[in-house]
Amino acid sequence: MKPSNRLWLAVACAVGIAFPLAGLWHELAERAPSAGKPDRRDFTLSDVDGKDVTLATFGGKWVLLYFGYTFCPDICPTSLQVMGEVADTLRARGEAMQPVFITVDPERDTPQVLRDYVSNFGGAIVGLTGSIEQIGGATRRYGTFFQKQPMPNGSYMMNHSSGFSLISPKGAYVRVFRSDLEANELFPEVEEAMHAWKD
Amino acid sequence: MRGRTNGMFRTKLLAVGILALVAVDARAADIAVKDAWVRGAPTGIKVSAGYARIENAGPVADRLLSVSTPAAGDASVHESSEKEGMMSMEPVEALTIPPKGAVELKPGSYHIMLMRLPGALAPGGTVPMEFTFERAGKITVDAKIAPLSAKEMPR
Ligand SMILES: [Cu+2]
Repeated sequence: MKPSNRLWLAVACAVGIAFPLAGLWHELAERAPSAGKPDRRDFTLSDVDGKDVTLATFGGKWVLLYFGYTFCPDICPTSLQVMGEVADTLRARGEAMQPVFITVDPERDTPQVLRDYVSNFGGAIVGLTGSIEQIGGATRRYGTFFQKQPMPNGSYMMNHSSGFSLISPKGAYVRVFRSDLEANELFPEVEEAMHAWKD
Repeated sequence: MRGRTNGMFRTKLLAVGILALVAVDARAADIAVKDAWVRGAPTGIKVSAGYARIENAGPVADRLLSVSTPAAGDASVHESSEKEGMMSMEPVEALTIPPKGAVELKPGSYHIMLMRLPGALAPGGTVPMEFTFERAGKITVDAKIAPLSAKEMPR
């Protein structure tokens, strides 16, 4: 190999490694805040009326966030029910808690579909959608993955990672909870995390 | 001698025939589909899930091959699972119901995936569901329609 070729190879390798690494560092920086600095994971999405929503929209309230999709008849309804119940219980105790459902399937989950869907659950859940890019950004920030899985009948499902994320009244990410818990199991965990948190 | 053999042969045949009839009868009676319910679906939601408890009182395993219902254009057995934090659903070719055992179709596990719903499923009503088993044949039950948010069969 000529020296000039070797140089180009080295440059190509360096670029090939550096770009993915830069992405990783960026994500790690978003995921793991330095001590004392609040971990902010904001997003811009749309509510069922088409209005822009960011974390500031819920300013002053705790937020419990769940990513899912309505074409998910088995697991997602149970998770939404649990989230709604926990929010209602907290409200009854005087805590301002807003449960938020972000769809990972904006293609099928139009604002109208989302509106009808969330109205079937307690807790006054807010449904949010957006462009693929906006939703992709939000899921990445919360360490959530989703992937389209085609079905033999031409339809598709969305495989997705699952969990409830808690966000403080000042918009700081607190922690994530498993989404396969019952409401009476999730409630004390969320309440404990809220009481231990200082904004 | 010859006549006697023939007679015994006939008796044996008859016995086998009766045994076979008994066996067929027993198979159908062995499988029971209990507590069937489906999630309600508001207008605009074209998908739902059905659940039931399938019991096998017989000495041999049976297999659930298919399900059909007028409430869905497409019904199939699915299993929800979580692998490395990813939630997904996979079609199940045939669901084995073990002898002297039962399989529970319930949220987060096995379910009947109902797709292409022709209309809304209003809680409080019922929908017929036909389960086809390899041995027991077809069993039709009325499934109760529960609220979308239900976690178990409405009582
Ligand atoms: Cu399914």
